[in-house]
Amino acid sequence: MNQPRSPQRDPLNLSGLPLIEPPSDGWPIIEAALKDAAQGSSRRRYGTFLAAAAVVTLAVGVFYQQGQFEQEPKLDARSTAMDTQGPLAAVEKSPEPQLAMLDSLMGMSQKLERNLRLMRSGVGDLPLDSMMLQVELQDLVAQVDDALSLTPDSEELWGQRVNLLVDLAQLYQGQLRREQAQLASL
Amino acid sequence: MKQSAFEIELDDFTLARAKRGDMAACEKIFRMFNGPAYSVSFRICQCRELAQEVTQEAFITAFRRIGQFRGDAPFWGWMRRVVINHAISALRKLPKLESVELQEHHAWEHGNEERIGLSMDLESALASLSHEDRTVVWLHDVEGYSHAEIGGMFKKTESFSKTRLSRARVKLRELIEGPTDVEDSPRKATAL
Repeated sequence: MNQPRSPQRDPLNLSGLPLIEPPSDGWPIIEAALKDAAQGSSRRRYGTFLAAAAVVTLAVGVFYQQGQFEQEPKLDARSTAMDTQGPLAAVEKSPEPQLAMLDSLMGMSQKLERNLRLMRSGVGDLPLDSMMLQVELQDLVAQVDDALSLTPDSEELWGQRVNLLVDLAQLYQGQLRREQAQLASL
Repeated sequence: MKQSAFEIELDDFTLARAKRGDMAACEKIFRMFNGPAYSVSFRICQCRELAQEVTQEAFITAFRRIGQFRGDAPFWGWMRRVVINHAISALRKLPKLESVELQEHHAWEHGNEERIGLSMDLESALASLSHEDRTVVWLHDVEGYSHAEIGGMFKKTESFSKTRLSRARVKLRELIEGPTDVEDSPRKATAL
């Protein structure tokens, strides 16, 4: 428990609340991650290639969606991010481009995180090559998160995060399609 | 007076070894700061799993970037900032649905407490605040950050921190002391 602070600074004596003990020892995970990072330069080069591929995918997706949006009624950027099916939809139509873009990217990231949780719970075991790709993508997401912890409003980093999550979602969608095809053939 | 549980002095030898990538030194640092790091993460996130995740990620970041620590301020302050940045960042990444569910859950608890006229304990009252209010009151009152520093962490102004702190303290008082305007509350009835 902390020493109590002055009543003026801490009038409710929150510093009197006890320390909360961690539920388990996290060191093995941290040690493994640090060793992995030290040995993983070649993996990171491959990851950079994947990230570049993800950017290309995003660019193609945005281009495709722009074509679609020109034929549809204009939507508010925030409602677009929350309501439409496509994760890239929120990039469009913003009165204050930079702030709206950051807001949209965060919204997309949140939505993708939610979808990924659902997908993970519904998908079976991934084949080995997909599993390797999944690990690479998750590793890259972790690296982007590290960088975001220092610059939380970086549009570029949020964009990279969304790209990586889109790739992960596509990975799971592919697996779900394969599983559905197998079920249909039975 | 000791202000934060983080205030643990790290010897220069261990720090130098950790900067060279010595795993034993890193583990020693982890063991020293794991408790305070988890505790502050939990106070901000109010979720054991997320707090554990945040703590682990914060240590991984800290050890990867320990070479950037210049040593012009205590190590614990740098370490604490890394943990808090990770926790705030984790909150921003939470799906909006989860935040809403959590707030609705607490709102129900809050209403229930008021209805039956009981006061909450400090722990439950703190948990019932919004993420931002709780983080601001904790960082200011317990960790000793200034309003300017807290505003900076949220990429907002100093007055954002002041407003949140004031609101959080009022809410906490209401929750802890219970309703005072209910004539026939059980507590008053007992006193009479």
